[in-house]
Amino acid sequence: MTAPAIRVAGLSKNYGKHVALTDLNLEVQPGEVFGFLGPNGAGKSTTIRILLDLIRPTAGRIEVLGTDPRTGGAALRERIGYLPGELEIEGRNTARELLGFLADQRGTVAKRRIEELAELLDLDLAKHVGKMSKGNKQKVGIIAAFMHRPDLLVLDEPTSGLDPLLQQRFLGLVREAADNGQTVFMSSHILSEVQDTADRAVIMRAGKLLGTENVEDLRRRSPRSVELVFAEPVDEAEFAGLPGLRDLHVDGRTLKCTTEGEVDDLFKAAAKHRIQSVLSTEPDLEAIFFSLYGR
Amino acid sequence: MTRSIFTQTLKEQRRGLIGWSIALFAVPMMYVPSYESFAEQGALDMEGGGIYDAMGMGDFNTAAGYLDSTMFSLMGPLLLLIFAITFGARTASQEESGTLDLILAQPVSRTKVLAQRFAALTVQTAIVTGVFGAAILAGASAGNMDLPAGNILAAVVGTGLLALAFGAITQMVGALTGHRASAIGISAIIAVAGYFANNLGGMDPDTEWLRYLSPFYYATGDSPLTNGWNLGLIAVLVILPMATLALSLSTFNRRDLAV
Repeated sequence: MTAPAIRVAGLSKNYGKHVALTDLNLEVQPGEVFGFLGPNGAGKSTTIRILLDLIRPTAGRIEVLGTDPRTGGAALRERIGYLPGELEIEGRNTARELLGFLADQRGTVAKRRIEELAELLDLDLAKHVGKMSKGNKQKVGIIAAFMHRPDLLVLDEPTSGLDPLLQQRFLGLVREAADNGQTVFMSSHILSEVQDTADRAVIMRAGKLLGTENVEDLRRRSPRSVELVFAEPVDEAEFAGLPGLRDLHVDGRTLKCTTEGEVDDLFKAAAKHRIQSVLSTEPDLEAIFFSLYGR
Repeated sequence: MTRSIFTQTLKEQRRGLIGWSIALFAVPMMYVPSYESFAEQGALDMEGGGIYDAMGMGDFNTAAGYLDSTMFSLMGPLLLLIFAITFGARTASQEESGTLDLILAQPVSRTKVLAQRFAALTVQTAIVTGVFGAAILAGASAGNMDLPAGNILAAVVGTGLLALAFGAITQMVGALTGHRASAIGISAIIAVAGYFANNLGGMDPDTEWLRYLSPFYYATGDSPLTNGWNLGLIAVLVILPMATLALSLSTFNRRDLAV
C-alpha cells in the first residue's frame, strides 16, 4: 500500500497567544482531488504553508509524499506544485522571463509546456508581471504550479480572480492532472468551486476541522435559497408543511425559502401554479456550517 | 542559459546598478579634478575647527586631506551605504510582497536564496566601488594630486567593504524580521551611530574606544590615503560581512516566513 500523499496528525500552530490551528488531522490519498474548505481566516493558508515548510508547526506530525517537509527540503519540493494564496508578484520581469526563471530552478519543465498553459489560460507572456491584474497574476501562479507536472499540487484559493470561463478551463487542468494520477489538494471558500472536481473535502473553521465529507453528499445536503415567482399570488399554507423547507416567506406572487436535500416536494407543490421564474443560489459556507453543524 | 537566483538578481537589479554607477562616477568627477585649481587659488586655506573634525574632515590643504574630506569622510561612504542598504533589502521586500513564496515553492533552499543574494550583492558592490575608485584615480591624476595610487585604492577598498558590511547587516535584519522597513531603518541607525562613534570618538583619548566599535573605523580609521594599506583593519571588514551572512542564514532557516 502506498503512503498517503498528505498526512497531518495533531497539527497545531500558535502565533504567540493567537491560536491559528488546533489539533488538525487529515489524510489525502494519492491520486485524489481533495477540497479544503473554509471561510477566509479559518486557517487554510496556514495549514498549506506548513505543508510547504514556509512556516513551522507548534505541534503535530506532517508527512507530504511520505516525507516531513521540514527535512524534505528542495528534493521534496521538486515533486510539489504550489500556488500561493493571494498571490502577489512584483518586478519588471515579463511573465515569460519569470516562468522561465522558475522553470530553470527545476530543470524538469518540458519545452513548450509554459506556452501551452499560457494559451489555455489566455495569458499574454510578454506582459510585465508587476503591472498585471490580479487575475493575470493568478494565471502566472497556476502555470508555475502545473508546468512541471508534479506528483502533488497544493493550490491555495486557485480560482480567485479568474472569470467563470477561465475557472472552467482551470478545473479542466485539475481533471487532467487527476487523470494523470497526480494528487490535488485545493482550498476554497466556495463549495461550488470544489464540488465539480473534488472527491472528498474537509471543512475548516476557526482553526478547527469540522469533518471530512464526501463532496457529493455535501452538495446534496447543503441548503440552497430558492426564490420562485408565480404568475398569480399563492398561499403560504400550501407550502408550509413541506419536508426539508425552512425560512418560508411568501409575499404576493413571490416565494422565498431555504431547502435542504431534495427539492422534489417543493417543485411538485409549486407546479400546481404557473411559475414565471426560479432562482436558486448556493449559500456561503457559513450557512452550510450552520446547517450541517448547528452553529 | 540556466538562470539562478544569483544571475536573476543581477538581471532584475541592473537598472538600479547602472544608475548608482553613474552617480558614483559623477560625484568624484565633480570634486577631485578641481583640487589643483582650488589649491592654487588658495581656496583650501581654511581653518578646520571642531565641526569639521566632528564630520571627519580634518584638513583640506593637502592632497590627502582634500581627497579624504571630499570623498572618504562623508560623500563616498554615504552614497555607497545607501546603495548597499537598499540593495541588501531585496529578500525582505520580496518576503513582504509575497513573491518569496513563489520562489521557495521551487526546489531551492532558503540558504541558497540568501547566499546567492549575498553573492549578487557582493558583485554589485564591487562594481559600483570599482567605478567610484576609477573615477577617483582619474580625478586625482587630472587634478595633479601627488598621491600613490595604492593608497587611494586602499581607501576605496576599505569604503567598498564597509558598504558590503552594511548591505550584509541589512540582509540580516531582513532575514530576522522579514520587513523591508525594519531592515533599512535599523541598518541606517547603525550606520549613523557608527559614523559618529568613529568621528567623535577620535576627538578625545577618553572616548577612543568608541571608534573600535564602529565599522567606519576599519575602513578609513588608519588614514589609508596617507598610510596606505592596513591589512589588519581590512581583515575585520572582510570577516564582518561573512559573520553577518552566517547569522542571517541560521535565523532565516528557523523562522516562519511572511506571517
